[in-house]
Amino acid sequence: MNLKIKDLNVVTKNHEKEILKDFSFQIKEGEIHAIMGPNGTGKSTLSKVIMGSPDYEVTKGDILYNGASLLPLSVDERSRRGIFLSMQSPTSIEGVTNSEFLRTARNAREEKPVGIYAFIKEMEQSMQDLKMDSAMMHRSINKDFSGGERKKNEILQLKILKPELILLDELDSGLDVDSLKIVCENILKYKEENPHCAILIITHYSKILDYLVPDFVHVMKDGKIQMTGDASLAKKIEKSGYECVNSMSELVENE
Amino acid sequence: MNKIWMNHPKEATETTKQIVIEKNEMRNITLQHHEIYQIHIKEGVECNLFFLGEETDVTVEVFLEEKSKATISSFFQNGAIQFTGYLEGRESELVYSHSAIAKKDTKNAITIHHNESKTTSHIFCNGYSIDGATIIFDVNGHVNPHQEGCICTQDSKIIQKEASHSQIHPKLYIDNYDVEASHSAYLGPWQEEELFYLESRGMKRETAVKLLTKGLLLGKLTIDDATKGALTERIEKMDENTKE
Repeated sequence: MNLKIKDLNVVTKNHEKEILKDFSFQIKEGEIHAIMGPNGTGKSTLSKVIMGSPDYEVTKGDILYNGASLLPLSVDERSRRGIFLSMQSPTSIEGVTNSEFLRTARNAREEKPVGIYAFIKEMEQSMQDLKMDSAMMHRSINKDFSGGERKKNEILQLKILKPELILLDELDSGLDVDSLKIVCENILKYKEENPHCAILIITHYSKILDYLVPDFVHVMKDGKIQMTGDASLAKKIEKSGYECVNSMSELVENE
Repeated sequence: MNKIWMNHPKEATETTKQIVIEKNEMRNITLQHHEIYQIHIKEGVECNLFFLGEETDVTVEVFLEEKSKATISSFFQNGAIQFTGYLEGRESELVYSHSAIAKKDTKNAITIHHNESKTTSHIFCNGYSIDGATIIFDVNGHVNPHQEGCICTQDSKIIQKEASHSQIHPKLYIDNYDVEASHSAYLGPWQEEELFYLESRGMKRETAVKLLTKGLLLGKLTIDDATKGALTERIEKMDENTKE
């Protein structure tokens, strides 16, 4: 697994706003990266652009995944190649049950459809690990779920779909302290079982990084990375705010 | 000023089909073209009814006595229903979920009369228009001035596979202050946000749309697995044989 973003420029679909400008970044097999930054700097846009959201357009640069460009690939192709985006505000879909959705999604990446009993067993175990009510299996996707339930549901999908690049867009928003711990433990367990997978965490707060300790922390501002450091950089930001970025000279090359 | 409440049922004729539900039960009813059905749900009875209508234009009137509860689902394929619910008994409750898939123009009218206090109605209408067919949902909720503590909600959605002249007319005629009422309506193509979510989990657009269509038309219906399977086949068959 290797994701390399080179000199990427991204605008909104209507070309009204440029969000990412000459953005470069790399994440390699097994690494955990965190991107922090003030509101409106393009962090969530980055994760959506990697996933192929139709809301944005890449006007320059490239996103290479395992050496090949992601740009010509559709959203579903990117997913089937192993990219998973845990969304900041997961969409709710009335009428489609969680179990049917997940089974269809799982089968979309298998040559042979997963047997229903094996699938239910796996789903039940994963829900148990996440301390989710098993009745949620039969409820419409994210419909009337609390913020925490939605986030747990995202991680349930991760466990079932088994990606190799995990993008966590503000996973910590909407989660209480206990739920954050449960969710992070599940992600770490997944990482232990799949050591080659890489994780990109997008967050405002450093609390999540106490559980998912990053190898690199990046600070993003005005559509590009302004600073890169190790896990201690997150603590410095928590203490002094993003203003300190201007006065610090720390930069770690991760290539 | 006198107000006239149009809440009188059709006069029963010899051909009107009368169904009386006297005990808790589940029942599937295939509706015949141009027939009028009057269904009486007795006091305290809880029932679950499913209507299937294919190429039919039917009238259904449901009368609920005190503390009765009816969960009614209907699936119409190229058909139209004139459904009227009369909440005649105090604390009676009606949940009606109507699904329509159409390749030709259909007009569905769903009307609920809250004729007693503390009565509840929840109406869900979902339509899927194919080949530019016009689906019309006229959804009316009436709460009379003397009926207090009623709940009257309606949610309607029509997905147009191709552009059509489909319409939703949600209407609430509320003449009492002590009422909980709401309505929502969506008419248009599949929402890109929903498609992106499903595609981001690896589904091709075609698969995502199939899942959404099934969810739209069957998700709200209270039906058994065998019926669900049979309806899924109908939907897929009808959706496959489109003009495109």
